[in-house]
Amino acid sequence: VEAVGEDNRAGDAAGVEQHPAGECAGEADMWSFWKRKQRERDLDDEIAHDLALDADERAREGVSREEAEHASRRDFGNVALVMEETRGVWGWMWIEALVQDLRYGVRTLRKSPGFAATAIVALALGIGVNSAFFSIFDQAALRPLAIPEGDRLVGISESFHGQFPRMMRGYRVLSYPELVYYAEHNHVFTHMAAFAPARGLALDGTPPETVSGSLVSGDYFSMLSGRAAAGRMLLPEDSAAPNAVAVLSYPFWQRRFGGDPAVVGPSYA
Amino acid sequence: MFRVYSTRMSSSKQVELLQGTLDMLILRTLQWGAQHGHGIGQAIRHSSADLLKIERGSLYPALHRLEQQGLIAAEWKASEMNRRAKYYRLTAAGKKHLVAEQSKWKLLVRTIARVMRPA
Repeated sequence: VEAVGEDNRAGDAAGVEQHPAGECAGEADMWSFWKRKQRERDLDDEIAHDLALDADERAREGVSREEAEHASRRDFGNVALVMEETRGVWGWMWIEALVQDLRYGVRTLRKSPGFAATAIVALALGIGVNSAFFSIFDQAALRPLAIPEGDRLVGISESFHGQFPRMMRGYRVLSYPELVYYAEHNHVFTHMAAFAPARGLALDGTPPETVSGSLVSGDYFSMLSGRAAAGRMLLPEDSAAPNAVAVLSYPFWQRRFGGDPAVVGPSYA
Repeated sequence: MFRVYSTRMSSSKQVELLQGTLDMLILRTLQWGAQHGHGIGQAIRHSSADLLKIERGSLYPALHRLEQQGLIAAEWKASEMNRRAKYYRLTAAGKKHLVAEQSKWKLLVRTIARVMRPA
């Protein structure tokens, strides 16, 4: 099908407006899937024309018009079947034409690499940015938190309005005494717990390792209904205890301590 | 070629068309100028002295396939009695194809005749 000669799209690919369907306005080539309707109508007309000419000939031989048409139809055979078989020829040609169109597209793009590169980069950026935003949105908003009743969890911050120094304006996190005060006077929330990001060094063995975690108040885990795989979670009393108690995340416990239950209990300096 | 072109055997005088030869007959007919489907069928019938009658069920699929292959091209024109008709004509590729098919055909006929000649 490549060597189709003068009627095909062998001409120079001058631009998009050059319709490579040849001189038959989209009939020689299945340039697009949407031309199919037109082709169906054309085939109807073509067959009807054949039947009409055949009837003319018979009528000229002296038969009545009606009889002639009837005989033509009978002689023609099954019209629907003929059309079906003819359409069958287009069927797989459509795929071939699609491949041709793709090749044509690639050739055209290759002829103007600057345009092609710009288009590809623009598309890649558009798709990439969109999917990145979607993954963030998905994580942040669409997926429920892995805790019971996660939709009832809210964060509290405070903001000051009025004549305050610049550094006081805007939303601010609460200090621990503030939290204690709010918790004591709270009649809105079931629980209130505090957390603050923290970073530390794990020095229990070699090699030392930077660990990121959170400093949390004693009722943090009971509020979130967290359960411990070994040992215990924090209790409200731990807030006031002289020695801080640590809860390890499961991945960290597995990775650094090999899931050793003996890690529970000892004190670390 | 994977289709057997059948011809109607309304009389015992008609002959069966050999597989793959219909395309060649169509191209040959179009050598005399553009023609529509009905005209092509009639022309083959007349030039075979009514021995070959081409079934429409073979003719139209063949025409559309040849058109797809670029061997013939089609154009809608007014025909006799001012009807709108789809006229097919040979393309340059079609002419080339016909020449090649014709020499292949001649070789085949000579070869078969050589084998079949009386000893």
